[in-house]
Amino acid sequence: MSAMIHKPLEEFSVYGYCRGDSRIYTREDLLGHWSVLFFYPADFTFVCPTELKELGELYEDFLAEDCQIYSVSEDTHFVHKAWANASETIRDLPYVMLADPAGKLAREYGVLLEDEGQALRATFLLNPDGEVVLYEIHDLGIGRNAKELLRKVQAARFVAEHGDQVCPANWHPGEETLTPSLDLVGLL
Amino acid sequence: MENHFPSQSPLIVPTLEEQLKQLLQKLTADVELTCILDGGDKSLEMAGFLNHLTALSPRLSCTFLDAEEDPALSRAMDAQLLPATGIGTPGTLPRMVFHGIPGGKEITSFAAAILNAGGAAKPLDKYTLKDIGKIKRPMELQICVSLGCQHCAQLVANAQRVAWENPLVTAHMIDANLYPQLVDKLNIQRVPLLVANQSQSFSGGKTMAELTTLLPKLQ
Repeated sequence: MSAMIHKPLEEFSVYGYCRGDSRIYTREDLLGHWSVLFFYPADFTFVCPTELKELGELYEDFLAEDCQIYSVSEDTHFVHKAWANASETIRDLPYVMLADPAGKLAREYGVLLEDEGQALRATFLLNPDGEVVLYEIHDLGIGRNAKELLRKVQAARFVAEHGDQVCPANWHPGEETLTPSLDLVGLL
Repeated sequence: MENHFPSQSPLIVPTLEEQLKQLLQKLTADVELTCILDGGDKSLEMAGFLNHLTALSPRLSCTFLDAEEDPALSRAMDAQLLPATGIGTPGTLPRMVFHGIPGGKEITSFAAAILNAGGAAKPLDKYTLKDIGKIKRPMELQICVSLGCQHCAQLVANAQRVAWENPLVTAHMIDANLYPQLVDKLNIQRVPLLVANQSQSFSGGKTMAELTTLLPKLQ
């Protein structure tokens, strides 16, 4: 699989479910703001609700970063609704759960397990133009950290606003002084 | 404070020493380096660095003191963050201050500050000088850096130049790595971080034009 950084968002049309309501979502819905596509294998599983719940708890923080969350699984929106009816955790989720039973989105982003009809645990952050700026793909049993994702969203926004004129801080108190390297250009 | 400190610094390797000699030949005015020290290892290291440096040019002199010796100077140089080295003309309060040791990329901004004080800096265009002159109230600039950051030294040099040109401005380079409490207080995740009057923060490198456009708006 080639690196997907800067991959553009293709046209799509899938149902999305959120707090009792369902409607069609398309490419245009994901443009104009930052978007997290949060793939998970299937509804009614154990690790997924903990990940999805943690994302829901930080939803306001993501919104503050102009970032919308879209969870994605290969279930239908009817299954999403059934899961919400059965689980208080899912019922309260404040973000849209996209339904991708045809595998359009999962296949597009290279995370569909064709034999299982499930998506890997994968996260893609899209900029307001719909381009991938970061992603992570986990094997099925490995959970993700919503706080770390929020930090990455903040970093991506920062870089988008400030260009590359910053260096990430990596503090090592007590380390030796770096050997000086004088740049005479501009001084002489 | 008597100068019992080392006369040589391992940081000034022969190639750097030659570069510095070449640069310091351009000085047309005397430059005074004022260093406030504590008893720490970094203070000792800085003292050796300054002794080695000042020996490279008759235009350079250095004074060492502790934070209690001159309260006005300690306030002006923010002696909370030591070692602190001010660069200026003899007999004046320095407005270009370095907290920590100017290793890594910051040797360039340190050298630029010496050139400023020594009358050897490249002249600025009239538009830049006009923008610098628009700063009408006292302004303290802190530039938090890491020594390996390629974007930091230029911002430090630009801020120090603004301070040199406008007596209302002071500019402090801070090697944030040495001051973890400051890192926590300002929640520094990336560098450079420019802090104006300890209240407004701006991340990222800035050209002289960007900086001199920004600063007058902060008053």
